[in-house]
Amino acid sequence: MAAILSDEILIQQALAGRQSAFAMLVKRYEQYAFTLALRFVKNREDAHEVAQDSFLRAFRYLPDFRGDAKFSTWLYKIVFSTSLNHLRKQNPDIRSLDDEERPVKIKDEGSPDAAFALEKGERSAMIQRAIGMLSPDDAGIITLFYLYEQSLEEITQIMDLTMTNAKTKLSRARQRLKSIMEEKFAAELY
Amino acid sequence: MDNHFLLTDDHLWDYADGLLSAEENLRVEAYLRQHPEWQAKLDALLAEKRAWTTLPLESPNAGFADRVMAAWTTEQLQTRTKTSPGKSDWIIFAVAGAFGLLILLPVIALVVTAAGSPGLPTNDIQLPDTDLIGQTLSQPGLQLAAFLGLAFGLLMLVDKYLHQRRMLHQLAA
Repeated sequence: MAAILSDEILIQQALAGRQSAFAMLVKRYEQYAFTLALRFVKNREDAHEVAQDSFLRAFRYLPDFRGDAKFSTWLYKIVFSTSLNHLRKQNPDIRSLDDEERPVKIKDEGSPDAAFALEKGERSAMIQRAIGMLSPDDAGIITLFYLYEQSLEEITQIMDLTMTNAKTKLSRARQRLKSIMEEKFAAELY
Repeated sequence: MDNHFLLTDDHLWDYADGLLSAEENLRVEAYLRQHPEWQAKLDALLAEKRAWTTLPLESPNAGFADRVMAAWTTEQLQTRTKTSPGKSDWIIFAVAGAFGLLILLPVIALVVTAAGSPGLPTNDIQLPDTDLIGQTLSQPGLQLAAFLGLAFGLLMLVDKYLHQRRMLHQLAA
């Protein structure tokens, strides 16, 4: 049985020029990078582009990776900044991915995806729909904290926040997620 | 127990998320023991949190990893092309060589012709072949053909070089 190589070993091999090590890192993190990109940019096509750019940037700057954070944390930071750049290209007025001043938008309830989720009654599909309705910042912090199990300290590194800001954002994001779920999916969930 | 302590939803979430200090944890736990309705709230909240932490990841389209690797390989090749002049600039050396040959050819022809001309000491060695080469090279038609051939080759090389430069610029863009 083939042993699972750690990120550290794969990084060393990649730095030594081994292409298969780069490929294994992509395979290992493609779903994580893509899911996070999708949470930020809200569109599969753009998420593919952002995820691909993030991997290329990560490989380009791999010699600068010092290893004082986990590779995953470092990669998520790159995904976050690539997403921000991508959204800024689309809308130059964007300063952050935050949505503080705007109310939560509940959109496309009638889409086939939503109907499908409601018909199937799948709790996880509904939560994902609800996360999709959050602002990029809220969706990102929820994903990083709960799904990727990144600590609050790691989130401060990824999203370039202070500890207090990260805690406030997390608290606000879960309140918004909860309120969307209660408002839109209460009948199905509770 | 601290009678002034009042638990809030937010505090309960922080407790569930492990974001409170050890001291705060103790206060929340004491409060929960005294208030079963809050314990029920915590149980519901933990169930919700479990659902959030076990969401499936989204998968990119098939072949995503291959596309990333293809893009990475292309980028590495471009970097190598830009940074290794020995490999990429052979055309420049070829052009320089052709120019050198163009300048040297008449000189060589002159030397060969002079070597075969009468009046110069030949140390009694007969060089009929040298004469033949000299005569051949001194024919104007042949010289013109050689010049045209070289000029044509030179232009081909310059065109190839410019084409390669254009391709690199397009790839970099």
